[in-house]
Formats: sequence, C-alpha cells, structure tokens
Amino acid sequence: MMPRKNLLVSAVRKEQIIKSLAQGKRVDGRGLLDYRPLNITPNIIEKAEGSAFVKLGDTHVITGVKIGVGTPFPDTPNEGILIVNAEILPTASEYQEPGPPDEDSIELARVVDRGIRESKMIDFSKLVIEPGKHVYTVYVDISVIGMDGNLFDAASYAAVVALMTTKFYPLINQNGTLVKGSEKIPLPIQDLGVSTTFAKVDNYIIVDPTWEEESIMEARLTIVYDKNGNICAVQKGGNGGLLVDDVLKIVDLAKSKSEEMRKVLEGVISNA
Amino acid sequence: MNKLVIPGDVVAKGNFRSWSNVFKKGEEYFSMFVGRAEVGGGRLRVIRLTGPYIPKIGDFVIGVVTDVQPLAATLDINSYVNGFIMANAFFKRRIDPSRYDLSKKVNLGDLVAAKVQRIERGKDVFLQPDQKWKVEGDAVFYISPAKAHYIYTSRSRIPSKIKELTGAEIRFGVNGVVVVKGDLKKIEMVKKALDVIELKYDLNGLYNEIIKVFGKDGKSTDS
Repeated sequence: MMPRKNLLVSAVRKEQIIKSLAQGKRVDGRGLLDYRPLNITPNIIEKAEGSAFVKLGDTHVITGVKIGVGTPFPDTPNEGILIVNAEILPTASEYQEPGPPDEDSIELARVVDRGIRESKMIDFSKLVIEPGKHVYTVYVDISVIGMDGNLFDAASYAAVVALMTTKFYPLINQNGTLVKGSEKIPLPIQDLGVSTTFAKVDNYIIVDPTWEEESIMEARLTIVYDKNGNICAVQKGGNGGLLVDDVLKIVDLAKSKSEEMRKVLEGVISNA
Repeated sequence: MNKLVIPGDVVAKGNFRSWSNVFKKGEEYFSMFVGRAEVGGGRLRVIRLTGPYIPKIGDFVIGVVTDVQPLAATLDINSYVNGFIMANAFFKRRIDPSRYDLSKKVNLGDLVAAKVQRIERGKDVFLQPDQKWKVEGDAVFYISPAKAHYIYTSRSRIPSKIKELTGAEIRFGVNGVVVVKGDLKKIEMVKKALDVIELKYDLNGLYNEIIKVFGKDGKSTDS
C-alpha cells in the first residue's frame, strides 16, 4: 500500500469551503482573518532548560530547549550556535508515516530557525565561553504531535516562548576547566520575531489555514516581523503563485496580525 | 451499570457470556479504549467514544477517491488504512482494463459510498460500491468515527430523526463522514445537530438532546 502523504479534500468539501469564504466566514465558523484559539503552556518539560506546548486549534506542538557546549564555527568564533530540529511524529496524523524527517519537517525547522536568527532574537555574542574554543549551543527541538495546518506559526510560537523562558546554569572558565555556575541565568534575548501565515484559497486571503484549507490553497506566505515592525523572514509555499497585490496585502495584514500575536506571546511569557 | 472508562480501567469482575473492547486478566476485565462501559445480562462491552474509524465487514462507509488505477480505485475512508474498490465492482462484471477506463467512472476527489466487503491482513480494506455509489451534496461534515460507528450500528433513531427534523437529504457513513444536500438553512441545521453529537462526551440521552436543539416545532433554536 502506498503511504498517504497528503490530505485530498473531496470536491464537495472544497466547494463548501470556497462558498463559505465567499460569505466571509470559514467552515469552522471563523472570520477570514481570525486565528484559531491559541493556548500556550510554558515550562511543560521539567528536564529541559526551556519548553512550551502550543495548541493552535487541533495543531499541537511541543518544543524543548537544551543548552550544550560546542566549538564555534570557524567564520563566527565569537558567536554561540543555534540548532533547530523539527519532527512531525507519526501520531500527529493518520497520514504521517514513521521514518527520518521528510521535506516538510526540514522546511518547518528552517523557517523557525530563520525567524529566530534573522529577527536577532538571541544575542549570540553573549553565548561565548572562550572565544574560538567554547560557546553555548542552543538546541531547539520541535515535535509536532497534532497536525491540523499552520505548523509554521504553531512551531514558531512554541520555539520563541521556550527560548524566552529558558534558564540554564552558566559555565565559568576556571584555570582552563569549565565549572558550572551556582545560579541559573536566562538566554540573552533582545527581540521577539512573530510569525504569521496566510494562504490564498480561490482568490481569498485567509490567516492561520487549517490542513484542509492548506490542501486546497494556491499558495501560502509566512512572514516574520521583529519588534520594530521590520520584516525579517519570508517563506512562500504551495504550488500556485501570488500576485504582487496579494503579497502587498498580506504584508500589511501580517503586520497588524503580528502585533496582535506579539501581545498574546508577551502575555504568556510575563506570566511564566 | 454504565460508567466512563479509560484504557486500563477495571470494568468488571466475574464471568460474562460475551464481551467486547475489553481484555481479561484473572477474573478482572480491563477497558481497551476510552469509552462507556455497559455491564448487564451476562454481557460486558465498552462503547468507544474517541479514536479513529476501525473498519469492520458490513460497515457502510463514505470515502474520498485519492487514486485511480486501471484495476482499482483507492479511497480515503477516514481511517488509518485505505479502502480499495476493484474496477470490476464499478462495471459490475469482469473487465479488460485496456478497453474499459476506470477514470471515466470515478475521479480524484469524488465521494463514493460503499460497503466493507473483506479485510485482508488487517489493513487492506476491500469495498463494494453501493447501488447509488456516487455521493453528491453541498456540504461534508465529519463527526467522531467512534461515536458515528455506535450511532449507526446500534439501530439508533438519531440519523432518521436528523433527516426528518432538517428536511435535508443526508448520507451517513459509519466512518464519521456525513454528506448533506440542501440549501444553506438546512445545512446549518444539520451542522447544529452534528455539533450536539460531537460536543457530548457521553452518548446518554443524545436523541433527546438533538430534539431539544430544534425545539417543539422542529425549527432550529439557539439553545
């Protein structure tokens, strides 16, 4: 039996979704520019330095952060290292098969990585123990345990909340040996990149697409804004194209939506 | 005696003539699923309330065509396994695939009504198309397959009552797929009734709950 990779929405359901969009609402009752209920639980994994569990509708993502020690890359001897891994577990949906990460998981990890890196969220220059020799390595492991579309935003929110709530024991260089510090410190955070994802379904622009909507969309655009309102990462997906007007419209919508989501994320972090 | 159980819960002790969805260890019977346990009359069973659709021979399902090959069509039957319909079954006789084109009968994305005919190796589900196998409609809804299976296999009056109260043309699949044909108002009414099934964690009193949604005169209310 061929493994089923993608959801194929029936012609009747597709028509139903498009008719509903024409009336200004989605099949699940949301408006075109409404997110599904977002629920974030920080510090869900005791043994990780930072963690978060995000429920965005039926999309569930759990992320853990571990801090290790490594050798810096030769071109950046004075900077720490960020490594983002993503995995869509077979339990996430009946369509997901066990095995090594597929292209969707790799894309997910890259988009989340880009959002964190390009928004300059972490000051990597402060993650150096001994220049050129020892730096902190920040591992962000994303596990998708429930799959119902818009994995980018859910994974991104889980990653940023986990990083913002990370606390770890610093290592101090004492006569050439690294000694564990006595008190935990947070990561040097300087910004917060907020991701928003839009999809184009039959000429309608919608935010936070479900898996069904993603499977019938023409194209998808994920935009990450930093706190100053600058675009710091963009990812386009889907087989179809986007018109210039569509992109400009999405850029405007993404800015206001990212501000909205930023307040939600900051609220979660301040209460953690 | 009825009670809600989770996997591993002790459902009952003693000897029973028949049991389902439980396993026995010593004198105790443990639940295998999240569900409602029913004990009485020498019988013991757990009615599943969550989980995917598990195909059983004789089930009437509605699936989406996901692949069409010369000899068979593959269907997504809202389960962890695919369903297959052989080309012969569509043409109602043995066919030569070089002369008969199955893709002229079914296309990707079509909804097909069929009955589970046989299950091989526990994962290859072969289906027999229904007399009216082509399912047409204006809306498709999904309800919990575990609940749907119970509702359609327990001779419940719920499906016929929903049809009666809404006046819509509805086709129910045991796998939780519901296809509705009718105007927008009727579709909304069906959705309200299905929401009651979906939101009620237990199945007790479901019939009355659905009637309550439509009020005494059969018109939908917001209660």
